[in-house]
Amino acid sequence: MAYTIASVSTPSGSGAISIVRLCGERSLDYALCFFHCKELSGSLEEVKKSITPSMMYLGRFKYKDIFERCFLVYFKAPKSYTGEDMVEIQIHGGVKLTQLVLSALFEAGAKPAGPGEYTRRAFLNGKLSLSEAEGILSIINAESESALSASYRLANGKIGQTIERMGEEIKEVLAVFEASFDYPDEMAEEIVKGKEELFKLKGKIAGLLAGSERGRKIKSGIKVAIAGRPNVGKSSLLNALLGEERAIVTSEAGTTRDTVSESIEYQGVKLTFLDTAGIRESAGLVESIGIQRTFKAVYQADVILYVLDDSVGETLEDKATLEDIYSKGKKVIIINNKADLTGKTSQNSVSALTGEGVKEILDKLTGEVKEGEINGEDIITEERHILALSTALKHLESALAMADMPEDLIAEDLREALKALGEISGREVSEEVVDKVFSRFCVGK
Amino acid sequence: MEEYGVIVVGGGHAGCEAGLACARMGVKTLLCAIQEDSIGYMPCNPNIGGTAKGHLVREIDALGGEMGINADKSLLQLKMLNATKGAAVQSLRGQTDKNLYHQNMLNTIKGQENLTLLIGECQEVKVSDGAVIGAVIDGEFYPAKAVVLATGTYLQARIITGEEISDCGPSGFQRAEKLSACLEKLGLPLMRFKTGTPARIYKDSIDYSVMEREDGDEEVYSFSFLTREKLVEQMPCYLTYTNEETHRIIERNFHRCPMLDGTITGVGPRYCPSIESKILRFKDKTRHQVFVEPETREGDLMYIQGMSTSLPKDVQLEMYRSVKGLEHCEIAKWAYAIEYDAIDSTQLYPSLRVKHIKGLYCAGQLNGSSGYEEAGAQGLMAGINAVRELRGEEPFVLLRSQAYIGVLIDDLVTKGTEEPYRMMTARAEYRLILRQDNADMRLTTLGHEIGLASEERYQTYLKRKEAIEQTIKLMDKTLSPTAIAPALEYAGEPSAKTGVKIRDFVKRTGVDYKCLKTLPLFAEVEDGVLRDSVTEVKYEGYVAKEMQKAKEAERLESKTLPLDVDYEKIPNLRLEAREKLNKIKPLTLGQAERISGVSPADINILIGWLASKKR
Repeated sequence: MAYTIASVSTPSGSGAISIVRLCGERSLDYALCFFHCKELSGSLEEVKKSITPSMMYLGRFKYKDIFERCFLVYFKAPKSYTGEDMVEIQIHGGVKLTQLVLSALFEAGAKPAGPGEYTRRAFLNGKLSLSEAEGILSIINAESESALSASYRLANGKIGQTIERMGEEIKEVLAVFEASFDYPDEMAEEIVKGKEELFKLKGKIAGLLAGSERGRKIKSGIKVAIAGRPNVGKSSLLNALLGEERAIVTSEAGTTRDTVSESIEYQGVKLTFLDTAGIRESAGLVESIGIQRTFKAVYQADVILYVLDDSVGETLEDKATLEDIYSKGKKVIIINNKADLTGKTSQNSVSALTGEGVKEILDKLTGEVKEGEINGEDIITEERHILALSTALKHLESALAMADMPEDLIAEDLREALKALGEISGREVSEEVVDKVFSRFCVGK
Repeated sequence: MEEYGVIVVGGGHAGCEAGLACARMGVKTLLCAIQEDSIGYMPCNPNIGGTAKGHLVREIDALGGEMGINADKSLLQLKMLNATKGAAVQSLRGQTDKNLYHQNMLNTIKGQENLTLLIGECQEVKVSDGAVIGAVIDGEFYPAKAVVLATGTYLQARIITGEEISDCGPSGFQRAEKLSACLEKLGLPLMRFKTGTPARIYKDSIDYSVMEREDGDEEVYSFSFLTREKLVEQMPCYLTYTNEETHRIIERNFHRCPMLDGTITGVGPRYCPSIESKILRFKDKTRHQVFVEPETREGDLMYIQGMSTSLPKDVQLEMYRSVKGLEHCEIAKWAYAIEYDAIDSTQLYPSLRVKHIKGLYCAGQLNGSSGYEEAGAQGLMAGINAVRELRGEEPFVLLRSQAYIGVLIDDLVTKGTEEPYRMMTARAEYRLILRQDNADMRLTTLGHEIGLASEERYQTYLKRKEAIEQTIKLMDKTLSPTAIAPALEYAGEPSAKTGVKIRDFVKRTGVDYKCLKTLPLFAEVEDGVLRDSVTEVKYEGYVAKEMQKAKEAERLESKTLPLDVDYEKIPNLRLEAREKLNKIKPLTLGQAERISGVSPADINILIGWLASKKR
């Protein structure tokens, strides 16, 4: 049987809903690691027996911080698109959320689906007729064309080259190991050096991955939540940041009961602001729903602008909220609003009313992202690359996990790492390794 | 005249396996060899096995072939290569007595029921209506429905030592004069390949005291799963090195090197370069290893591994004598390069049958491979498939995930080779499954099913399988800290505070079967069984993962493509793909995917086309 694969089936970006799809014999096992609902209780085996195929179940997807209401549909083989067991999970649209759900499924054991893989499986299982086949073939071609143009762009770009270089370096080390297997007496020194190389490489890949968060921000923009107690001027600040009146602003506390999101482009970087309801303990029902949403927005954001009323300063309530936000590892910028009233010029002072200090905040928000570009560092933006690099890193770590790891297993990990990186350029590498053995080392009886 | 089912042409390592396989499967077989001395002869190095090759020998044995048994009977020394590098890359290498190997093989062949040995030169394969009808040997026609060609390096061979060129086969045996022309006429274009061998030196003219002595392993292994005898007395090999003086001598004589002056046009192997190519290609290396190995137990010749050459005799003498320990050496046989004809192996199906001629099979160096073991493996498979075709049965093809033999043959028939092809572990993508220790577990049932592996072999396998399973079951036990103590101590690990499950203990690195041997629980278990059980447990996680990969690949492997397809007529295939597909005529989508020049998009088109055909 085949691997179970998973991917997001809806277009990337924010939409009303996203559909994450699984295909393969373990689809249901993986989905049920995280999906819970009343109708499906008991052990995994019991649930698998009791679930009705092609029926929509409403439940929760629990993983790390998320506790997401979602629908799950199970398509039992052969009555599915591919002819294999499939599961579809419908969640609220949202880049981060979708990513998390997908990575949960990967963690459970699902493999990322290759371009056109569902259709390929459908073909292999004889699920498509001639006319359908023709129709889908053009879709496959379109898919691989976009995949093609993506790899083309990447191959010519710096990132593609960087990844290719890393693949090249792994290949060099793998060739050392392969040569040592086939010519046992001749490679002892090279093996020691090879292992040192692997440690360096591991560091490099980890570094690239560390920068990938910035890459994602370049691609999808930075999410900024504006939070604070009621009536500190969050909505006015949003308006000032947007440069136009958008959110409802009154001076009465607690006007913004819902989160409002607006995007701007500032010096080439997309910024999405989430205005939130003010956070206070003594709130009415409607307002407390707003406050719950606020926290959700805050946790989704990349950066939080926490607004203080400069004339009041940080209250005990603020302190408690900030501690909570910090504990989630979020980046926070404290904004001292209403500087026009106090006349103070402390750090991050703004006047939402006069627009003073607003540009500084925008610069601060986008600075991190632009810095990377200026330095000309390699920034990974594509999810596929992140996954490939993570996989490669995982294998390098496993190869180096123990000092006395048997070398055939090290080589196996290197082959897998190379394969992961090779998938980006789509090159067949085994023959190249063999060639390398011959061209680099003087081996042979 | 007696009618034969199969005629095997050539008595080398491929021919012997082919002949024996056919006869053992119950078909009257004629084995034709050019000289009796050439039966099972080792014209180059005096060893069987080596990395990846050792795997092949064990696989040949597991299926019911002869090479492993014959090597065990002729051993001078045995070593498990890569012993410290992990079980998947461990390979047996045996130094073998060349005379004994030849003699033992000759006896086996002469004693084999259904097998007739004929000394003579096969001059022609007769084909009528696209099917083999027999062969002409020394002018006489012998009818047969199948012919296995295993001509080794004999076709239009010439050996070259400096300016001296002679038209003969290896070791000065008579070459095959006429068959090349016949093959071309049958539509099998030929290529020219080259290989070489070093000098043989009289053992008494060598100073071993300045060389490093290399002994065999103390641990007892055997190539064959049937061998029970233990090796009695091992002989040492010796290691010495070339030096800068050696390199200067060779460089000074580059202009007299037939490989460089255009005399030799054949393509040589990169993995087994002559000493002059090593020096040419790796200028910064100041020395190269030279192994001095006995050719026989009783005889007086030593083989000089690592210094094959085609340089003239006077240069050879100077060159060898510049090596430490060889200062006063006397040369018994000069080193030479040999050129020979080979076919393009992509003209064969995975069964090793020529695509356009029914009943014609090719095996061994004729197919562009090199090495005794690669030849033996192909000979065995060609023999099996010749018999199966006679009987109207499906070809017996091993997958890349089943055996190194599968990798070897798939590489040859799907990708072809531009140099003499050597088996390497690097070529096996399922290396962790394809270990030498489990060759019988992978293949003996298959060998028995096709009627090759004997009942004795099958029963031996079943007993071993049972013993390994029982031993692994024992490992599910959890031992108290006191009970496990001897094993921990042996492994150099601190004593345990709680109970230890043996299975978990076995998986730690540095733990081998000898650690378990310290426990009363395993005292009764045979060493070999315990060793293989430990390996099995250590690798079970990795094997499971690799099996999954293999199954994934089998999805494409199980989709067969019809043989009569004209790929020109399938819409949307790219031009290059059409040409390549028409040339290779792959049997399955899996094979098609491995053809260079066929892209994943082409495969998708084939999948769609196949699906549409079904309706």
